Amino acid sequence: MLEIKNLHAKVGDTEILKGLDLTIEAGKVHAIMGPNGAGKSTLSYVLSGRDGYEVTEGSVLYKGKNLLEMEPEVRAGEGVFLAFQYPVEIPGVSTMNFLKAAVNSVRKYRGESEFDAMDFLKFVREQTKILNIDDDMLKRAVNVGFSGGEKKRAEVLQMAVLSPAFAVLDETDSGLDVDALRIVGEGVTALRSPERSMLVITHYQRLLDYIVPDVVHVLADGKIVDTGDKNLAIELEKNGYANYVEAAA
Amino acid sequence: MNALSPLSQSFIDQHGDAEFTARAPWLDQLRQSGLENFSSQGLPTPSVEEWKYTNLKVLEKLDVSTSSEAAAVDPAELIWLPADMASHKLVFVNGRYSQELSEIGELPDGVKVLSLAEAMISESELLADNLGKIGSIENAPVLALNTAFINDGYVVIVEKAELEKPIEVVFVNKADASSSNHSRNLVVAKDNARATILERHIGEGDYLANHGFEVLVEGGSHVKHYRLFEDGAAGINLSTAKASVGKDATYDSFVLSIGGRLNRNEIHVACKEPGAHTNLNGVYVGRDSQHIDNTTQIDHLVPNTTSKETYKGALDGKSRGVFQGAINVAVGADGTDGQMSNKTLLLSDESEIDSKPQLEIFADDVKCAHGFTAGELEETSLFYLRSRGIPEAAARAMLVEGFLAEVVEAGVDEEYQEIFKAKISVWMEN
Repeated sequence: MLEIKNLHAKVGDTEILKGLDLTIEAGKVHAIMGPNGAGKSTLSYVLSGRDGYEVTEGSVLYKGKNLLEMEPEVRAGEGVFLAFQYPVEIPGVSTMNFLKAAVNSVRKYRGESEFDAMDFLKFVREQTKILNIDDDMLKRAVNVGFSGGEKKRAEVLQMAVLSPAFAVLDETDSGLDVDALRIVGEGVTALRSPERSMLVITHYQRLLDYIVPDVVHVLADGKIVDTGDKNLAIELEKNGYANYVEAAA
Repeated sequence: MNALSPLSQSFIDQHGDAEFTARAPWLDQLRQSGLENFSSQGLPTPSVEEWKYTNLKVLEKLDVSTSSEAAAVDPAELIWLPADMASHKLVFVNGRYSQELSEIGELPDGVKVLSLAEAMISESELLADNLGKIGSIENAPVLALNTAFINDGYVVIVEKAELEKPIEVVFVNKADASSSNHSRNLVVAKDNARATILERHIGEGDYLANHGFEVLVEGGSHVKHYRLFEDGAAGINLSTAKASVGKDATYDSFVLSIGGRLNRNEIHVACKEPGAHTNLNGVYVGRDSQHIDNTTQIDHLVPNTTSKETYKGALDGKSRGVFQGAINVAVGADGTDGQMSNKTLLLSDESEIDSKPQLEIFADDVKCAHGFTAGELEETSLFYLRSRGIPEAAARAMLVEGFLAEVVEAGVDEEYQEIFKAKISVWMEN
């Protein structure tokens, strides 16, 4: 599904990713854990195509295609999704209109027929029920005045309706209390399927109680420095990142 | 007296030849005072602070010696409200009331909606009491010019009554040859009256439409004045509105400026008695070399009056926007709350906004704030939408529309919002 080889990327003049290798197979959930400043968010932005993140070396193949050449909207059309650590507020645009524009753009890209307003409403309501999202939220402007939990649930809702083949979840647990974490975790878990891969980026192990990963990697100083199964996350929770940070430095 | 410019002089010459149908000694006197006031200063130039950013030199291309004549109008082009929205409708063609295109219909007791020419006959006393009284022409040469030419316009009088249907007004300009006209309009709302006015300005050809509005809102009344300026590409629209707001009364103004070569929209609101409140909201969008000027002044004259003002714009091409917002708090006007904000998206390198806030506060216990921003779309927002599959152009349009829609939602009753939002969407598509 995704094959990252020797990825180097910089922001401004600072090199953040320094030769990252990572392969994710179809249907697998990989977690990346690491200390602050390791390059976790940079990796998520490089994969989703944000301006200002310059790849200087290496390659990223997604379903055999060169992901780095694609515009952000093309990546979305191809099935790449990023759940933002800090979802962006879009004043004046209702969540419903935003979702409809996004879903229809992606459907158009994929050669599928676009939803009309009625069909879309039905389609969205199936998803909001699962995620315990109040329909009232759909009328409100995107993320404006949303609580931390509502923002993250809205991200998962977007993921559900866009039906990506590969989703990156960037610190989805940040800003969530235990109840919100459970709802979001269960929502994501419900979206696991043999055709869908995920990359869960997190600082803490607690999210991984709800989204149980197949593989866990440790990212430190721009590189993957360790790989294991879900027990690696538990170990990290106990011992912290100190050993990896020292080794990398 | 300074020598007047040929342009200003031509208005005065035109006045000598003008034939006014609305006649009364007091009205002749009022026109004369307007003419004298205008003659003493002429049209404003950028050397006048209030006109620093808007140059009326563009008017020189117009042959103003001609007053607009009657013209044929296709009723179909006047339609702008949803088919199922009933209204009391008045149409003015080149500044003159058109009986055949208007449809005022049944009015509840306590409500009068009519043309100024008709009101000169049936409501002469009320006109004499109010015209030229609500809006001073001191330091207002464009309104003085309008006053010199008072002859027609709309008159709305609502006392102890609630108007359920909106009053719909369409000003249409059809200029075969370049020409000018000056409508003068009056709204009087007293004793817990309620009225909504939906006003639309359209036109074709080279013209100057110089509108004057006087609005009196008293005794717990609430007037909502929503205006759409979509003049023709060569049209010049100068509008001056003066509102006087009394005890526990509210004047709401919403303005959408979307067309015309030059649109100056000036609104002065005087909060004259405790509990007076005004909401001034506006959206302006420009492209090519359009010039859109929103100039407002709110005077808080007594204790415990409030105002809230938000103007937002999106400027493309070589268009230029002007926002001048003055809030004056008089001595002793404690408990004033005045909030003002102006935000502009500059969609091209050559577009420009001149934004000038002006707070003059002579009372101690007041809450006044203003905020001004101008800039491009947020990169983060754009990336967020694109990462959801929305192509860049559509994402930009969505962000601009959302940015502007916020003001429509804040400033317009829900049932009328779509009328204005749809106009913005159409503008975005072009």
